[in-house]
Amino acid sequence: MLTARGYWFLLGVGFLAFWAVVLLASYVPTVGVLTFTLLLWFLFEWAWFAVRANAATGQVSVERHIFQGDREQPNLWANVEGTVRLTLRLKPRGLRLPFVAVADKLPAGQHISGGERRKVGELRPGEPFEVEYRIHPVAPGVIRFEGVELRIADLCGFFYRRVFLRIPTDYLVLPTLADDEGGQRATKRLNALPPPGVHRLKRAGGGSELLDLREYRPGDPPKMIAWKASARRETLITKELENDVPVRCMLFLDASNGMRIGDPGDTPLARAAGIGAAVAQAASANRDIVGLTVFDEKATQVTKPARTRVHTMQMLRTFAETAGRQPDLTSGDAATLQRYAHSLATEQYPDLMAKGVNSRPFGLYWIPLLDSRAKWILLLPILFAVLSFTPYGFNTLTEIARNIVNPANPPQFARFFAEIFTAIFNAFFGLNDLRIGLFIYLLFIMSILVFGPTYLTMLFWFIFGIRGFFGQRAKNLGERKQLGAVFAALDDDTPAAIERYIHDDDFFVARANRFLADHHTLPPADLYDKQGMYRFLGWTKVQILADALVRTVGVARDNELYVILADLVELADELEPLLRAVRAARGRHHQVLVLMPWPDDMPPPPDRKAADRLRRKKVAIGRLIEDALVGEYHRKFEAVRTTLVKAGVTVHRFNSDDPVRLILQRLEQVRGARVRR
Amino acid sequence: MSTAAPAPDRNPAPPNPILEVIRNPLARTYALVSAGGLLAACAVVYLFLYSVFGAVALLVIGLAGLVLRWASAPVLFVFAVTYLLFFPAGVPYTGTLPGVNQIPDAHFRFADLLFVAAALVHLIGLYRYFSAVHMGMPFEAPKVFVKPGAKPTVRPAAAVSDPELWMLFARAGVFVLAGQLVWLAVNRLRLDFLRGFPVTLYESAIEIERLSQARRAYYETPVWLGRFLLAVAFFGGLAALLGFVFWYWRLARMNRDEARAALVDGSWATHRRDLNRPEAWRGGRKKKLAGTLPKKGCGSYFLVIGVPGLLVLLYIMIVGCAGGFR
Repeated sequence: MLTARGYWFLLGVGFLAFWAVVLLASYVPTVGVLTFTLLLWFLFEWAWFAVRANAATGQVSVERHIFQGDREQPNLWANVEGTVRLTLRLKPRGLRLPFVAVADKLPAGQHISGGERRKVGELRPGEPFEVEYRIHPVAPGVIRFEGVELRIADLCGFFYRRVFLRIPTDYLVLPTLADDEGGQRATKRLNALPPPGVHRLKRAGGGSELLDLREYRPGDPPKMIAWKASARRETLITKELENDVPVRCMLFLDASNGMRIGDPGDTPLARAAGIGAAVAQAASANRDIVGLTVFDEKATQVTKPARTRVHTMQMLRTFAETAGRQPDLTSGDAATLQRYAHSLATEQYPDLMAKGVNSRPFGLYWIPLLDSRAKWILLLPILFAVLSFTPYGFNTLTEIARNIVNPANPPQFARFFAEIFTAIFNAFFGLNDLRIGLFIYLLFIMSILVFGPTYLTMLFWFIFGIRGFFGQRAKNLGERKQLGAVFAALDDDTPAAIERYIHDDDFFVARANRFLADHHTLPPADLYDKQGMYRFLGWTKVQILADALVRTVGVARDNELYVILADLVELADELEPLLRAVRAARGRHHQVLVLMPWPDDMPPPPDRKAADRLRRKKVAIGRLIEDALVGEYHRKFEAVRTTLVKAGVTVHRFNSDDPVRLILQRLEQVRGARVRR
Repeated sequence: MSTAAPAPDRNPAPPNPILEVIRNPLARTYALVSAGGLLAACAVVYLFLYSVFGAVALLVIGLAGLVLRWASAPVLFVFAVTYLLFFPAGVPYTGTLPGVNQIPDAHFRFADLLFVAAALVHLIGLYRYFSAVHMGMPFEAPKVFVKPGAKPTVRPAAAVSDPELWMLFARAGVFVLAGQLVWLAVNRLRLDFLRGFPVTLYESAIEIERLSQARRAYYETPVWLGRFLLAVAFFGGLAALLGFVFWYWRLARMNRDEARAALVDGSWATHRRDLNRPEAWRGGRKKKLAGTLPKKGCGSYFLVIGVPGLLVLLYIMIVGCAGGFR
């Protein structure tokens, strides 16, 4: 690619070379010699640059290593600074690239906390070219390194090429690793409570606390005989001990589309996964049993409760994978998506967007007349041709000819032009006769009358079609075609798909959403449609959550704690299945806790002052709209909370208090509870 | 006594451009190379053309490029050279024009060799100097998206290796000789389309003189046209040949995605007209059913009804004016 510097050099020297050859050579041959020398040098620079760039671009190998805590890690930990080390290497015995700029594509949502992800220098065969920088992932999920941008230029800055080495690599960001105690004490706080990991169940078992006394049955172990009681009653009495069972906590994590919307690493799902992971680690450190059910609008994924270290790690992995899920969008504004997708494709797929493999022919822009409502104009020439051969048309033409060739009484209009033609003819040939002018005018008029409709139709056809080359339509069409070709190439699709991407908005929107989601660069989604309905309602998830809860209750052994991390605000009217499941759980003395995400920019329900502060900053119309939106959201939240609280569920927001502490306190309560079955 | 570190200056003073160049070994080296070439070129102009004005003018333009990092300076330098060779005194006075027919002995002249070599070294040094201090690579984004104050990519400030420097001089020497050879060939070869092989050698300087005159036979190709066609053929042919080689090389080295994209795109380009109609119809119907078709404005009605109507009216007027309805 020629840079502006190269373009101006070539233009200037080429211009001088032209004049040197055509005119100046005879006077000052030095100019010719100089410009020829410069042109030869420029050609050589181009050839040498092209040789180097072509030879080198396919020969670059890239290695990426990520270090945390001085060790290379296959996965990352949230809230721990990591070092990304990128090593580029040209194959030995190749040509060196004297001037390259290497830039690692930073994963979406990540920021550099040290170092530089760009480096300029020289790439020598066999020698490593290292780029090192630090990132600080703050939320669990998946971060995706797309690849490396390699920019190559010659030493004079005439030529330039940009290559994107696509090496997509996904790294799991595991939730923050708590210490061994999970931030909680692993010792008893109160003597009234059993040791961690143990929950006293008032059911006969192998515990240490006395539950009851009963008459001896044959087969009871002698050591269980209560001798003093036996002596008093004069019959053998056996001791029954309480059952010591671990506390079980089941987490239900909502991974529906509504939870996945947001900036990478700052989605409600990522926050919920962070909370769940902290709870899982703390409970595991307390030797409690923790399980996980991830659900969305379609299915559930269950991790059975356990308390081993391996199980905890497996759960952290599940949390990270879930937090990294991208929204599965099928709708959106085609123009917005096209803008985002085209920028992304230009940046990361320059090889597939190049003219050589992704053409935009002129015919693409031409607006065909036949496909429009104005196609009937093509009938005009035919109509006039037919009319010319009707008696009326023939008589009209004859009348015109008769009038024109009658020099005694020509029409005034005809006479005017005939005199002009006569004057011209007189000037060139010296013949001053009005009949000659009239005859030329007759030929002119007859040609217009006979071919006029055709000329006019052709003019109309041209103007109609040429409009397609200008304006926003041309830009959109070109971009859509390029994206369609990229999608078709990536999907191994047929050429017909390109045309479909151009004309079918729904088809394009679905694929563009997938393309952007794959690269973690979805545009901000519209949460509400034009009718004001929440677009990510996901009402089916309520039934799926209820089914999962009922299944869990079905296999539960003791009073357990169920923590539901879900966005239910917009589903106030759809909660009936969940309420039934909750009642079933409560009927078996299980505890249910619901934690719901809360938008960052939404004032909390009771905090009217914050709402007022926000309101004061807005203009009048904005205040009205914001009041309406905030009020509506609060109303929905209150409706959900009231409904669930009536069923015996505790409802909180993610940001209301420390949600992890809240859940752990509830676990302590469950541990201390004595329930007879 | 306070031991607190001083707060960092939020608006540090811009670096001194002269000091920046002096501290940067790469820029320093190429600035010296460029200045050396410039001085040599000025010396040639002064010694061989006896033009003090020309030498000073070239010196001013060259130094302006170096000191002010004026990106247009190299091209302006070449234009200035052309002007000053034509008018060494600096004013357009035809009395100072050099002899009309210098072509026959205009090859491998010592002054030309020196001057072209010096100018070439100056320009190469100047462009490499710009890559070190001004801009080595263009901004990737269009200019409107570049943040104000964003620094362009320049070559890192490292010492220039000896081979790089010596190759610069060696290349300059080679291209000076090559330029002379091409110039010689373009001027000594004659285009005569009446012959079986249209390229021959001029027989003598007299023939060149004759063909330069307007009195030559009409079927004889004038010297300037032959020279122009040969130059275009040489440079155009060389560029086309290199372009073809590189195009084929890139084709041969395509990766899988590129090859697939090329095939799909080629097939689409072939069958586009057939594929377009059903897809356009399907897309249009879907939009119509969804009610998302853009609303037709008055312009649309004017185009579809008004313009053809006007055309018909115009036609009727022509017929009427011509007396057809009398």
